Amino acid sequence: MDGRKALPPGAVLDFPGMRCVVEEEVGRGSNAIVYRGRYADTFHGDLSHYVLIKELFPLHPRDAIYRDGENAVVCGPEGKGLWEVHKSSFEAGNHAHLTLMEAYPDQIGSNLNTYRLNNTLYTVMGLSGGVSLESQAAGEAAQLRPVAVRMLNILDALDAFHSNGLVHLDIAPDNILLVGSGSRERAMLIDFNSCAAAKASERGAGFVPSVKQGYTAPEIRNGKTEEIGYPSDLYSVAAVFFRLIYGRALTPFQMIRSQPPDISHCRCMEGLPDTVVSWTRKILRQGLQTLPKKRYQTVEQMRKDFGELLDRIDGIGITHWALWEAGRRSVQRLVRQNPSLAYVEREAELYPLRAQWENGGETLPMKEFIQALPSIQDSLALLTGPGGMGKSTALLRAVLTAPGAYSPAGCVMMYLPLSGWKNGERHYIQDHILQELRFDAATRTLEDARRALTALLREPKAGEGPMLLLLDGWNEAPGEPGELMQEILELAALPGVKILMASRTVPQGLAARQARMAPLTQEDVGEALLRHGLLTPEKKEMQRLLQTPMMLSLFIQTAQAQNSQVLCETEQELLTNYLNALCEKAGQESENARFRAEAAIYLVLPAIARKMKKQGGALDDQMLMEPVLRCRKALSGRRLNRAFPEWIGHGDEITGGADMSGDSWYGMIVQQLLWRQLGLLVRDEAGGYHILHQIIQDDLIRRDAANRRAVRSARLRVGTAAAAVAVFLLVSSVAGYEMFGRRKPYDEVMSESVLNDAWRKFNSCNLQIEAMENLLSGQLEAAPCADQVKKNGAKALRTVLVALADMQSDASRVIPWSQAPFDFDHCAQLLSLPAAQAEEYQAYIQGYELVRRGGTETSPEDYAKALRPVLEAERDIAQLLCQIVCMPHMNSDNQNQTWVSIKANMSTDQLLAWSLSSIAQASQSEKTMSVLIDALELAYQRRQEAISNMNFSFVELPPAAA
Amino acid sequence: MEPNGVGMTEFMLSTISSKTLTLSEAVRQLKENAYMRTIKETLALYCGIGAKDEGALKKRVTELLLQSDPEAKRDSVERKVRTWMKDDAQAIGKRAAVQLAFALHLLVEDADHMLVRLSGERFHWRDPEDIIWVYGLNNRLSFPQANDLCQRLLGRAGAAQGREERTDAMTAMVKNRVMNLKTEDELAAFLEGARDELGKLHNTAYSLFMDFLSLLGLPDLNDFLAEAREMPIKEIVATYMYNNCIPRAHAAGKKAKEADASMQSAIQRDIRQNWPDEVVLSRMIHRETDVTRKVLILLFLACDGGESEYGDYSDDTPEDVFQDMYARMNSMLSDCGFAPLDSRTSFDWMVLYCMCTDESIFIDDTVQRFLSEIFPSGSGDGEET
Repeated sequence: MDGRKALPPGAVLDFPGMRCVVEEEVGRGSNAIVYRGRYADTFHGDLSHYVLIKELFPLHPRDAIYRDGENAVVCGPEGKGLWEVHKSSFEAGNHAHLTLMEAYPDQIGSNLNTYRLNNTLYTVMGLSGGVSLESQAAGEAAQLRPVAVRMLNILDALDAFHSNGLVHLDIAPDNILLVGSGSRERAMLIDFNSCAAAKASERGAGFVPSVKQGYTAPEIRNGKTEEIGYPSDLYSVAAVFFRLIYGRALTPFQMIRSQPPDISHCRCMEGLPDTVVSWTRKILRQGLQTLPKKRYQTVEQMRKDFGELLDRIDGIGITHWALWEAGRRSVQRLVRQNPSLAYVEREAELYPLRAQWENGGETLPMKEFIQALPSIQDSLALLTGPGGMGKSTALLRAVLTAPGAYSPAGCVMMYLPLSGWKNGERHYIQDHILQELRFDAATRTLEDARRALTALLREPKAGEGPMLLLLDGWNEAPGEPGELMQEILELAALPGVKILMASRTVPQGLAARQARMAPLTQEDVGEALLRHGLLTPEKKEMQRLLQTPMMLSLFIQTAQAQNSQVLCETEQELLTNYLNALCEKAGQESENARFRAEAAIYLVLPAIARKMKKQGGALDDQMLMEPVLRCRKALSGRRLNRAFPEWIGHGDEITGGADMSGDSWYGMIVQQLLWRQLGLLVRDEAGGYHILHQIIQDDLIRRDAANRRAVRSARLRVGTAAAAVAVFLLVSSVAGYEMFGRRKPYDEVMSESVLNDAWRKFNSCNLQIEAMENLLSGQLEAAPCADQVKKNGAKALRTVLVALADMQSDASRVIPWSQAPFDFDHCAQLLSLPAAQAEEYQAYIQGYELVRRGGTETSPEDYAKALRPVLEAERDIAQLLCQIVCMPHMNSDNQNQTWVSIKANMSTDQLLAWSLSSIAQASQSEKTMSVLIDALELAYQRRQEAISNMNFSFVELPPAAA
Repeated sequence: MEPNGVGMTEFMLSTISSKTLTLSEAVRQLKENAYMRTIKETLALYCGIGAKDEGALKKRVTELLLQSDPEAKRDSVERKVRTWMKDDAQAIGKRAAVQLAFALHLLVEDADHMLVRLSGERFHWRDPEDIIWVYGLNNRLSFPQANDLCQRLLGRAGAAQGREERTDAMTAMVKNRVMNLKTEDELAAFLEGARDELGKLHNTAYSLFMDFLSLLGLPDLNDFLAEAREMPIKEIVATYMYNNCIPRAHAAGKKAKEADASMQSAIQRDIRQNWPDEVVLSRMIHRETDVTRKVLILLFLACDGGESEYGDYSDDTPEDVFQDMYARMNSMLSDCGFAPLDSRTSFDWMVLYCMCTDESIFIDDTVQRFLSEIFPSGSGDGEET
């Protein structure tokens, strides 16, 4: 217990030439009590100088050293030994203080004088107004940066001692004074009682350093005085650093462990990059080394590391760690911002990617392949493979799966898409790297930064791993990328750089070691399909196609979106199915959403793809606005409706109508739908978009060409018609009757297309009916019957529908070779008949099977007997429709060659049926047509009756059989 | 090479750290040619007589003891000295060592060093009895006078049971104060006034002991394949104290134990001496007995070593790793008031050899194999690890 009585406030200490008045006690230690006091200025007596007064007053446990009634300090007999020890220490401290003050008057607190009074010693010191670090720093620091700044200030203060060949040996928070605040704060070391010469040979025999739990270096605690030196102080500084971060001093247990405690969970470390945390650990680890020789040897060394720490906190500098951080950050951000790239992070969804070195080299899993790159001799390697083989996935994945903790010996990986390069860009790659960094004051211009980067890569530091540049898509770099190649070769020549460039093709003249993406094996494909419950396609071509990871991914995504097995046989079909599936999925929200998705995918995106191909490289919002708004305008008009008849009547839903601005529509279609929701657009960090994959882009460009052809045709027809009218009007009545009465023909190609399909549909219907009849007569089993019905039940081709819609826009025209008008209504019926029949007959087939298995009370004979009238009626319907639609255009003298060949290809039965038919003999008169139409109506009625009879006669099929 | 004090110690240390010895060679070296420090050697060093001149040394030591304790019987003293002179005698009681220090009129620092060599302990600056010895040596009292002081002052002051948290600063302060005590009254006053700070038990050692046990008892540390659970003391002893390697006395009773002891070599006795078991560890936990140097060393070995937690900056050479561990072990021992590692005592030799293992993660295996070579029969009682 401390029983020492301090001087009371107001106590006078009459020093020679300085009459001090004690104001209050400000602190006490084992050696002294410190007061705040004042003395009057000689000339301005009303003003005072404020000072600190340190009174030598050692703490004795039995109060053998005490204060008497006269304020004098009395030392009893049993206190003498203690008194002498502390007096020596007090005097030595003053000596050191004065020595330092002489050398560094601006950094060391003033020591005015020392006096004898009251049987003791008093040292009068200047009052700096500071507070001790001990009182300032309670608990864990909230932020690391101010701590690092403060440590630099402490090192500045310590430098004064070391520069003078002295060691402080009692550095701890209670001996560090903080003067000033904010950016003007500086640190001062106080209490010089333990000061000693740094060199052992210069220290006195009575040198006994003090020990402070949590701060004193091991060599001092172990009594190895010969090992005490500058590193001993630096140990204490590191211990203070630990205290500020951790919130409390090192415990004895922590001090004997091989590593300092983990600080990564401390409050001030939250949210800081790994490179900052690792550097903080490094400082603590080196600063708290047990062996002095392994610690920081000088203030300067430690100061340098704290400076580096500040740079890392601020993200400043072109350094190995900054590049490592930037490489990771940019890929993480790219994946986060693009939903279409989210799969890269989901290992379970990825397929096993492999690469094979050229000339029959080893085939390696992608991870191993990339990991080995820093150690191969070649500084530039090329990774080739067709589109969709997973090159981009492999490169992105390499960065994402690199070790999460920074290590100087590790590789810095940087992923760069080359599609963003623009003609004439000389420093695309370097600038792309530098845009992630922040620079110090020495780096003023971009050119300075490039030089600094080149210098770092030209002379990498010992122990630092190389930078591995992963350049993606050489073939996607637009224009003539000669300058880009030049930059690549220059970078590859730098000792600290390795490059892996991915491309579909080998750049001309490039001498680089090559590797090729290996296709997935059949087992890989089978396993992936099995995982998703999907059947392996039967066709070998399709199986081979699925060995391309992209195709496999589209296949699986299509199945997931449409929630069914995928039936397609070509790449084209797969892509079509995929895009359709995306529309279907969007349509689950609402019909309008489906229309918008269709418009985005089938109209807007192809237009974007075309512009990308034309312009080269990625396009930003500004560049995309124009084609997108043109699409909107086209949607608002009528011409595009002919190309997309299913959108007729939904223009406002798709375009947003008058209430939605162009900007808003752009945002909805491009940013919301195509980029974020459907993931068909990928956006890079510069805000440039590109299509998800080259394969899809190629397909979209084809679609765009088809769209433009359709629009152009429509425009041409309108223009032609208008021109024709104009010509007609210009022509005088002299033109004559023949010219006036002659009708304009439809486009021959369109006419041919429509009639071809009409005829095919008629044939399909017959084949379906034939299959059903064979079933009922026992000549065909149910399964093959169903296949045949389905196979012949295809819907009308889209192009045919488009042509039909276009022809229908002007029903006053005629078929060019027959000069006869065209029956659109009946043609539409004929075109849709096989699909309708296919659906209808599937139910009959199932019913027949059920009957055959004894599932109902009806016998197969009765069933067949009831069904046959339906089939007969439908045969007549098909025939009548064909005659109504096609016949007028088949028997003319000027009939189209196609029709000649069609007739030539008719079977004998068909021709016979045709010729025997009295209707076929009929002339092409209106009256004949009217008879045909009546016959058709009758046939429909017969069919309906026959169907009613069937339904009446038989038990309703259970839902499973229906 | 003849033993010659510090030089031999450093020679042995460099032999160990040079890693030129296989484990079998190290055990053989320990058994046959390790130049373990003997009592005789230490006595010879401090008496200024060559160890080879055993007769003269015996005579001198006997005379010193009789001078310092005139009431002692010559036969008894001679018998004691003869025992000390045996080559396999490795430790004497602390009190006897203190007596010799008085007899030789050693300074406190020299006495402290001699104490370590003779008894394995140094002056404990919180132990009132040791403080009285120090006072006696410092003020040139005779052993009987110091003894008398102990009886009078300790009996008056009562047993001190310091419980105050120990800090290095406080121990250093105590040390400073003790060294400045000049009169009996001052001594008495000091003992009375510092009652709360003193105690026979090593507080820092206890604090570290409990920290080590807490670390070893952590669920995740024990078996990451098994369900997480805290490790009981019994299991800690079995796992980390190599109990299955240390033979225990099979028969109870003093004679049985004596017979058992005589069958063992000095090396085996030194290593086996005070080897902790579950009971002893439990008593230490409850502060019924002091934490020993041996226990702390074993716990330090159990908890230390392995790869850097962060896996980076591992540019330390094997020599650096050893030196670092050596320095930290000594820091720990010094903080606790124990003697640092001594390459010329059997147990410390074994510890130092095992610390020089190429990979510190295998240190447990090395210790176990070393003990198995020292004690080929093992315990038969111990738990399987």
